[in-house]
Amino acid sequence: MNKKGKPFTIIAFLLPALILFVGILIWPIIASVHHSLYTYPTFADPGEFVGFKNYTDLFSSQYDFGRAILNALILAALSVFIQLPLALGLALMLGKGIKGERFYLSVYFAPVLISAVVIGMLWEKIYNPIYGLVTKAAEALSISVPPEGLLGNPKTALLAVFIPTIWQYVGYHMLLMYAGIKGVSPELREAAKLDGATDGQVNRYVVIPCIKPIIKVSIIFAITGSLKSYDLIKVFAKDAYNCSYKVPSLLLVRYAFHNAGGIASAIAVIMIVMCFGFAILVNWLFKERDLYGKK
Amino acid sequence: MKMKRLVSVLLAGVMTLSLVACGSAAEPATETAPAATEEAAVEEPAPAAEEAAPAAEEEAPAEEVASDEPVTLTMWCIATEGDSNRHAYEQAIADMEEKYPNVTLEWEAIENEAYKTKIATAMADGNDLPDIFFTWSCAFLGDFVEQGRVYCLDDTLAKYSDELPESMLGNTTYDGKHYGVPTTMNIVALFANMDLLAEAGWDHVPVDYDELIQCCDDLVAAGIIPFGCAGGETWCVTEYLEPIIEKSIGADALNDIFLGRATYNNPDVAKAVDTFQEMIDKGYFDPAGASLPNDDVKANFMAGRTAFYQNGTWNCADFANDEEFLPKVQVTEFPVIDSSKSKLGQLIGGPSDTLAVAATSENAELAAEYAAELGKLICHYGYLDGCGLPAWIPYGDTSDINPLTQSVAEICANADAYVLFGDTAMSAVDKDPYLDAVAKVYGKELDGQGFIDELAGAIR
Amino acid sequence: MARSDVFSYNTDIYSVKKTNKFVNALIYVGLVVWLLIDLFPLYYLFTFSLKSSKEITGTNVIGLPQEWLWSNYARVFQLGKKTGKPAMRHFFANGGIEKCFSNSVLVAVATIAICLIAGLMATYAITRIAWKGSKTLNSIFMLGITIPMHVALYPIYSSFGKMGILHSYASLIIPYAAFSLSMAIMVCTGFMNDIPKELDESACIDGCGSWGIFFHIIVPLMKPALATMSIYIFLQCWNEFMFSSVFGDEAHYTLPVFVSNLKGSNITDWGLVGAGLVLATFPMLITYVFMSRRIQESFMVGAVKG
Repeated sequence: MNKKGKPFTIIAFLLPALILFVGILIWPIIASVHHSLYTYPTFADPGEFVGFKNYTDLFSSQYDFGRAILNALILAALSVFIQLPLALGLALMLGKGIKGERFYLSVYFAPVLISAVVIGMLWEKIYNPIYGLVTKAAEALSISVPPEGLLGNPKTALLAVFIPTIWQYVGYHMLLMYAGIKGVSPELREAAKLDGATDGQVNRYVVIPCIKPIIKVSIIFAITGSLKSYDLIKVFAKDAYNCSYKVPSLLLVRYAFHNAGGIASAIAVIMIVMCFGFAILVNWLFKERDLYGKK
Repeated sequence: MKMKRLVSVLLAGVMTLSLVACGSAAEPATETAPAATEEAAVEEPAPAAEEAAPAAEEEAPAEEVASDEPVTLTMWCIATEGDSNRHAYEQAIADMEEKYPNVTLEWEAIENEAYKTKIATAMADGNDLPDIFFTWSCAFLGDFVEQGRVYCLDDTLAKYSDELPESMLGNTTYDGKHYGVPTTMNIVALFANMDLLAEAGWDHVPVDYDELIQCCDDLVAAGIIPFGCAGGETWCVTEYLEPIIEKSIGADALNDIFLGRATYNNPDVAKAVDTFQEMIDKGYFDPAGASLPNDDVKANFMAGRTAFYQNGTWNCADFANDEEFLPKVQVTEFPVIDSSKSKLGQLIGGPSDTLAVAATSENAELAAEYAAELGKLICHYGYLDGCGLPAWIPYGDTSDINPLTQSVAEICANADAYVLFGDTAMSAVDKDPYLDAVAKVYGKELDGQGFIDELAGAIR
Repeated sequence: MARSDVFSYNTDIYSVKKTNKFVNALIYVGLVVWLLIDLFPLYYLFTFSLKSSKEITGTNVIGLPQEWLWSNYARVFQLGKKTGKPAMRHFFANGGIEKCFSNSVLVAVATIAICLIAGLMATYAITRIAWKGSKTLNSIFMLGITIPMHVALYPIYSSFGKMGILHSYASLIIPYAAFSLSMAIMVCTGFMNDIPKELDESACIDGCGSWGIFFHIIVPLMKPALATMSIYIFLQCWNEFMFSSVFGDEAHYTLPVFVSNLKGSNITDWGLVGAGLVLATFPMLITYVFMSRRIQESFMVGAVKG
């Protein structure tokens, strides 16, 4: 053990990272907490001190922040219960060792590399109620779609917006999990197989417990990613007010630049608290069960 | 020749009108400006407008020196590649380079929505502002004036009083001082595809509201969708709702509401909103428009999917550039709904596109002069391109201007009153609940009563 | 688990018991379906970049272009470049797609460099030097992964304004590096834990100080980690839109801003937009095709380490 941890050396090594981290991450958080207690009609002018009024106002019908939180939670739930199982399924199928494995892997990961702006504009075309692919396909299969299109109908819009969001990152989580699956020692699998386990049983009792730490990371990424998703949803929302798929980050950016800095800061604080909260919660849930899933 | 006469008629008409004066609404706001500037002065060395103006006057002798020395000015605007004003900007800037060989203009254009964010952030901060910036008039520019970020143009514009009528400056005048160089003005107009109207048995655009309803019914019966409206961009919904409200309650009443002199708690407004929703319920509006962006809805109109398209007159340029489409299209104003309160000639619109100069500019006086000259040229070329009507008195040969813009000039020549677009007239704080409520009306989440209740509660 | 295990698998080992044919077929069907779902948007994007607006919006939505309009591409390169006075040329030379592309590359490279240096040093201090609070600091860094970038937009803007570095490459690079730092430290920690501590100790006995150990032992052994960290950092910053549009200016915009600017307020020229999207997207994808194996391996190693 290197015990010569002189404070000066430690600080010197940490300095670049700390400057970046404190200056760009920590300080804005503190600033946001402070701003959220004032009205901040303009950024240069704190306005009046209003205490927690911004937080309570957020949930009034004017700001409708409750709906935004709910939407973000729905997105997070879809990520965890649809995106991740899909990713896990693909990773398990590929992890078995299959012909063309590399090719599949490459294609599945490709959407991650494409800008959300491009994906948004592309899917907007796909959803177009007149000539979009979805509409044309539904016509061909004589399924009725609402004439206003999936994005125009408040009942389907939320899902229509979340599908590309989820689709884009399936490959990301798949590759994470695939890495874990490839790391499961072949002897373990073999032993299970020799004991007469089917593929499904091997996956269920050998592979998945082994990659629990990676699943945990995936879940944290999926949830926090959902809570802060912005770029793609912004492409769909354009400047549409009151769209049925508003999310917290959309409102944050809107109010930050519409003379309501206090409201925007309150949203920022709530988002940070939620992200931290979920990260800690997931960590805790996995700690409880880690007894079985030790690598 | 006909056009020249028309223009003079139009301008005579415009000048006699009292355009919406944002200045009066902004008066209380400007009083609070010193407070804001004090704050700014503590936090950063941004000079306040009041300090900058006299300072620049004192430096007046320096102007002669500046005229030969190479100077670089910066400008931000929204004339991106796809924007119909792009051509006018490029030509105007090319002309300016000849006129001011010593000035290098570094300009950049960014897409409309991103621009709003960018300029608002830069204004809030006060550093790193460009010398010249594009802005919308009334409340949008008013916020920046209030923050003390905008250079007062009184001295500069005095030299142009023969070319730029005072009546065009109302939207950029705050507390009696001029802060903007208007370029073009636009109104909301109803565009009609006459080929489709003919299919429903109509050889003219409907002249009154009953005819409009009859026409829509005939169109629906003939399997043609009357209106296209982009629900994906809420400002497009206001292009329908605002004329309907204006033609129901009258220009003055609407103006008072927009400028905060009256509340939304007005049953006539509720009735007008209900009128709009009735039209939606009767299937007059293309359902596909609910989530589409304006580009698509406009393309649908040009492709013959909808018979009418109500939007700003800046569209004239694009319609006129499509040789196949131009002969089919006519432009008119939305008919009067309640003739006891409103009449033809009450329009939504006015000069909004504006150039302004930052108070922080190191060469503010030169920038002001440059902005005025540039604004004049953009106005000139934009008018020739059909991007809008001129805020400046037109010069040169205007006979080639497209027939649609000429029709709009005719409508304006008979104008009775202008109410500026709601989202431009309102302050940023009021704009959000307003547009939220408009979106809810189009999405059928609010009816007329709900609309006025929500807005009476949210605004003041 | 040693890194080499991840890749030195042998598919034969698994085939102890022949998998049910039906299940196998089902697996292939599933894989191929997802393959199509991923490939179709790319096909759609590519063909739509070669069509006219009329085809895209009605007459031929899905099929191959009736007339292959390569001119759409030529027109994208024209965007932002008009011949004119020298001053105009100078300005417009800044606005084209090549400029945005090189901006993106420059910003990404610099972000990666800064983040690697800061990340390596911090990880060294956290994992190799014993001090009270190193665990806590590490947890704090890890929480950084969850912080949404938007919350920092205004506070950073105003402090950069005061420092006079707005509208420069630095105004993009610094936030990107800061927001990628947590991820870099996380990946780096995994790698650094693999280096036996005995190495440090023997170096210590030889009289090496902390700096000596860092530069002579740790850094040379961390080369594989650098590739992995670079990929994670790259993924975070390459497609970022919000900061680039607010903090950049015409001379510093990155590709995502170029793409969003393609959609001007009145554009109806979808073929041009499509060509712009392809040009902004495909160079990246083509690079990926050639390097996919390395990229994936690095990414996967990072996942296992993290």
